[in-house]
Amino acid sequence: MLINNKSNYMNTININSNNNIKHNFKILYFGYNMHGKLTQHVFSKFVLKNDDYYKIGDIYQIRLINIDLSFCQLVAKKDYNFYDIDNFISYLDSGMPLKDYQEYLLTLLPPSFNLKNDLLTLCIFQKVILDELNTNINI
Amino acid sequence: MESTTIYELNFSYNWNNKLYNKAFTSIRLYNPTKYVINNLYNVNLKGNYLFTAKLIDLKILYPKNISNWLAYLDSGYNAEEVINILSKIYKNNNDILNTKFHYLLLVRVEESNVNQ
Repeated sequence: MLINNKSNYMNTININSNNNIKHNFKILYFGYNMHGKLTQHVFSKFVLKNDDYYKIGDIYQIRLINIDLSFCQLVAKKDYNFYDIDNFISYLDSGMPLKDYQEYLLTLLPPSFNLKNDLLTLCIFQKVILDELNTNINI
Repeated sequence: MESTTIYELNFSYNWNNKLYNKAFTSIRLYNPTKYVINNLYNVNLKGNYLFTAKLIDLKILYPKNISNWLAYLDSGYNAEEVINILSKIYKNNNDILNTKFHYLLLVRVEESNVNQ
């Protein structure tokens, strides 16, 4: 789980495919692999609500710390108020009980975030294999 | 020393690789005797013991109410596909959409904590 609380977490990466078609993917940053969820085919991530950056169908480059992993597609999302997060979501997203998870979130949320009115988005990403791409990556 | 009953929780497939995680969910036929919060379960994959897990939380779930995010995190498939899978698993059930299931939230426990 990593909240995108800084604008520099919303970057893109350019990738050239084998047939020299340039792809531009958004980057999905992770500080660490909480409870091993990135080994799943489908995993969740809580983010500050941003419907421009998080669009269903868009492809993202998974970046764990400084390492680019595989690609994933946003397949589902749901907005949450901070206080509506339940035990299921907290454990599935982080492996932590709700109380610990909410305390953790509070350390990541920007000071301007209003817990009662502002929304978080639970994004569901599915890993995808882009067969046409090689490793010629230009950042 | 008080003995602890440990139930069996069998998986035929590691859906969404979820059994590698610390926390994971499972959709099971409604069984209020077997599924009680704080119960312990031996998690077995294809008959092989993997680890012990504790039931942290549960909900009643009818397949007609399965959302995409619930389905994806549980199985790696969307809601429609999960309902199809349940229909195949319980092929003698003619009304799978209205069948009562438990939606379980389980967390791995360290072996040293099993009897605590």
